[in-house]
Parts: sequence; structure tokens; C-alpha cells
Amino acid sequence: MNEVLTSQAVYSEESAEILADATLTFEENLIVEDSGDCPRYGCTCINYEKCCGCIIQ
Amino acid sequence: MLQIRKAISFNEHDVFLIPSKDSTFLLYAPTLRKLLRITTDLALRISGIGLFQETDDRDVRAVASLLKQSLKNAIKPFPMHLRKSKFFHLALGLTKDCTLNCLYCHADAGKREDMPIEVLYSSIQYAFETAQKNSLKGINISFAVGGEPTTNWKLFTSCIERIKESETQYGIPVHLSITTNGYYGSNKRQFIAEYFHSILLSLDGPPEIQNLHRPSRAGNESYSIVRDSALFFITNVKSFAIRSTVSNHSVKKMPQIVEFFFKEFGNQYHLVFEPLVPLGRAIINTPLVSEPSQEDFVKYYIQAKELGKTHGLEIRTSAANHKRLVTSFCGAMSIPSFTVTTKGIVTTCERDSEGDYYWYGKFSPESKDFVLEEQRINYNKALLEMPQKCRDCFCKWHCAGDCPDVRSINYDRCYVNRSLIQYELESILNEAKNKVTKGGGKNERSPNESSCLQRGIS
Repeated sequence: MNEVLTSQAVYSEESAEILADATLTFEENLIVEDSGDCPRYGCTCINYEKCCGCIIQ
Repeated sequence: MLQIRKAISFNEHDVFLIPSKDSTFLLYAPTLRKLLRITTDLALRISGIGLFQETDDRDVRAVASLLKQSLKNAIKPFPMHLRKSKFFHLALGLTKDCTLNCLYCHADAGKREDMPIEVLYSSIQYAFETAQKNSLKGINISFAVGGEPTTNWKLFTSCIERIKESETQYGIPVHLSITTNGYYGSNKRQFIAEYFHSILLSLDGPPEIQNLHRPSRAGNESYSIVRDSALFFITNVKSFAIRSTVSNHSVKKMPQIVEFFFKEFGNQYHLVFEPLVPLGRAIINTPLVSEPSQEDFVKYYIQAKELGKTHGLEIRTSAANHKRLVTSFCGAMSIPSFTVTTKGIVTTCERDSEGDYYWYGKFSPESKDFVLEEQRINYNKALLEMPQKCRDCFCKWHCAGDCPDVRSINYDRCYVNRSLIQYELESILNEAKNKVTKGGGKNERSPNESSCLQRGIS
């Protein structure tokens, strides 16, 4: 899951029009970057979300 | 009526303004890893003047200040096309035949055409020799091209035996994966479970859905046999998932499918929902089944996913992924994938079961080797270029222009991609709110608490 880092930031003092704030991690980019070591592949890969997609039907 | 710009720039990073609930906007800067909920009035002012710290507008300045702080956290979308795999990927199209007669089959399977044994053994040899020559860590061999791989059982078992012999001979480990219809008995199940590491089983839902979508060749029901395969694989295969193709007939029943599968199979597997794509037999069978409306797919997929969470069952789809930023949908075109059709044509995509569209080589009976064409490899790589229409879309680094093969038939699932990404972004902000609330802070306010002026947006 995305780890959500809430920002206890300056904006609460500076703007009443910023209603919520989150910092995203995109940690799956690390998995994709490291996917050279993954023995799975393509349309039969049940973890396919992490490096590619399958729409074979 | 005021027009709002969807995309603006901050220090060469995209910043998207997305209309949201309760007359608010999401301000989304993906490469800066920043997500805000802002008032409509502030969105309009940002759209009008841009994001400058020098502006007199205190609130715009506050946003610019937050984004400036995020510059140190900036990331680049991962260049999928440059991904280097330490494994050789071989995909085999053993047959165009099938034991089922699915109404929507993309490959129009059911023809008596098998891969000649010479092509099969040469494909396996090519994979092992290439892996050895390049000192790769292993080989992934997948079966998902054309018909049901197990239909010609003799060919299928000969193939696995040859692979296992080669594994011993070359000393290179193999990972076997298969997409299968599960329409076979216990002996075949045991063989598959013994040799395969990953299994994706096509099973669309309860009997009334499965038997309509996926009848046997003789027109009989298939549910009871495929159900037994699912039960066997769940307990005997470590990496197992069920894939349900969603039609106009089944789309509103997605939550019921989750409930039914949970009762039948528990939750120790992944459930994958994919909308039917108008390809192959799906084009001629439209009076019986057709693609679901994208609005329905989004609505009921979200309900199904939420229900899955309560049951501890992971629900997935191949539409845009909110957890990553990438430059292309998959690596098949750029690796390129070594997919061999029954006729010995080498193509990049497992959907291209005839090798008509993405071919880049073929088996030569004379040399008993594969002849590859560099020009075609480059042609396929060029298909990864993101379409112009994606330029101002907040989804662009999530779906990366979506599957090139889907684009080639002008099937556009942008509504699904955008809706599901926005759903996830809204969930992240809600989660952030909950975390802060639990911590006693206050990081989300109602738009009514602020001084925004609501204006019409066109």
C-alpha cells in the first residue's frame, strides 16, 4: 500500500483553502526498478500489476 | 462560465487540477509526490495565474511553497522500456485448439492447429542457449498464447518434459506459468500443480455467469469441473489467481461474484477482474455478451474491491495502477518478449496469437533456428510512445497510454483508468485525514470552513 505521510505543514497557518494534504511514496517504483530479478513474466503473472498488465481473455 | 486548465507546470513538473467531491479540487503533482485537496476558488486562481511564489495571492503562494518543499522528494517515472531482465522470457503458443467455447475468446480458439514439435523444441533450445550465452539467472516460460495450452495433452506433457530435461542439461532454473481454463480432471490438475509455479485460472463467476460466458465445446456447463480445479490449485499451488472476464451481463454482479467466490474458495488467492474487450469472438457474439459500460465497471469494481477488503480477498485489475509512475504500460514491446506462435512466428505480445501485428522474426525450417528482424524490433518499440491525447491527463504516468494493443483497436478505457486512479487518490486523502484525526490534529477541513467562493466550472 501507499504509505501516506501527512504533512503537518505550514499551510494550516498560511491558507484556509488547502483542505487536505498527502505525500505519496510510489513504493512500487522500487519494485519495478528491481524487477530484473523477478522470474515471473507478462500475461500469466498473477502479480502483474507490479510490472505490466494483462488483458488476455 | 469559467474554463479551468487541467494541467499546469511547476518547475517543469506537471500539476493537475481534478474536479472532486463537495465542490473541491484535487491538486495532484505526481512527480513531486504531492496531493492536495483545495477549494474550487483556489483551483480557479491557480488555473488563471499559475503557480508562482512571487504572487500576491497568499493561498496560491502557500501551494507553491508546499510544492517547492516537495522538489527534494521528486521522482522520475520509471523508464519501463529500459528495464533489463535477468531472465529470458519465452511464451509458447502450443495450440489454437480449446476445450471450451467461450463467447468472447480473443483468439477465436477452437481450431485444430498445433505447434510442430520441431518448432517447439527449437524454441526451448533457443531460450536455454540465449540464457546461457548471456549468463542469465533463469528462464520464465509462460503458456498464454492462442488456445488452451493443455488441449493437446501429449504435446503439452512432451513440452514440459523437454523443458525439465533442458533445465538439468544446462543447469539453468526455469519458472513455469500458465493461464488455463481448468476444464480437466484430477490427473491433469496434479501434473500441472507439480510443475507450474504460477497459475492464472479463468473462472468468470457463479454457474449462471461461467456457463453462459464459458460453455464447453459441446455446449455443456463448465462450472463444476473448473470449480474443482480452483479448489485443487488453491491448496496445491503457491502462486494462484482467478481471473474473471466482466461482460455487460456480469458487470453489476461483481460484488456478488466476490461474495460467491469467498464462500466457495476462501481468500487465499487473488481475484482479477478485467472488462471484456471487443476482440475475436466477442465481436460476433455481441447479441449474447458484449463489453460492459465503463461507468458500470468502475462503479461495481469499487464495490467489489471494498467487499474484498472486508473478506481479506485481494481484488485487482490491469487498469491504471496508482502505486507507480512508469513510462510505458508493459515491457513486452521493448524487451522484446519472445512469444512463439503455433506457426513459429516470433511476436512481442501474447495477445497476438497469429503474429500478425507485432512479429519480429520467424522459425526457419532450413537453419532450424529463429531469424529476427531488427527493423521490426524497432517498429514495435516505437509503439510505446505515449499518445498526444495523454499530455494533459493526470493518469499519464499511471497507465502510460495504456496497452498498445488495446489502442490499436481503438478501444479506449480512459474513463476506467481515470476513475479508478481518482478513487485511489481520494482514498489516500481520506486515509491521511483519518491518521491526523486519530493523532488529534486537523489536516482536513470542510470547504465551508474556508472562505472560498463557489463558481461554475465548464
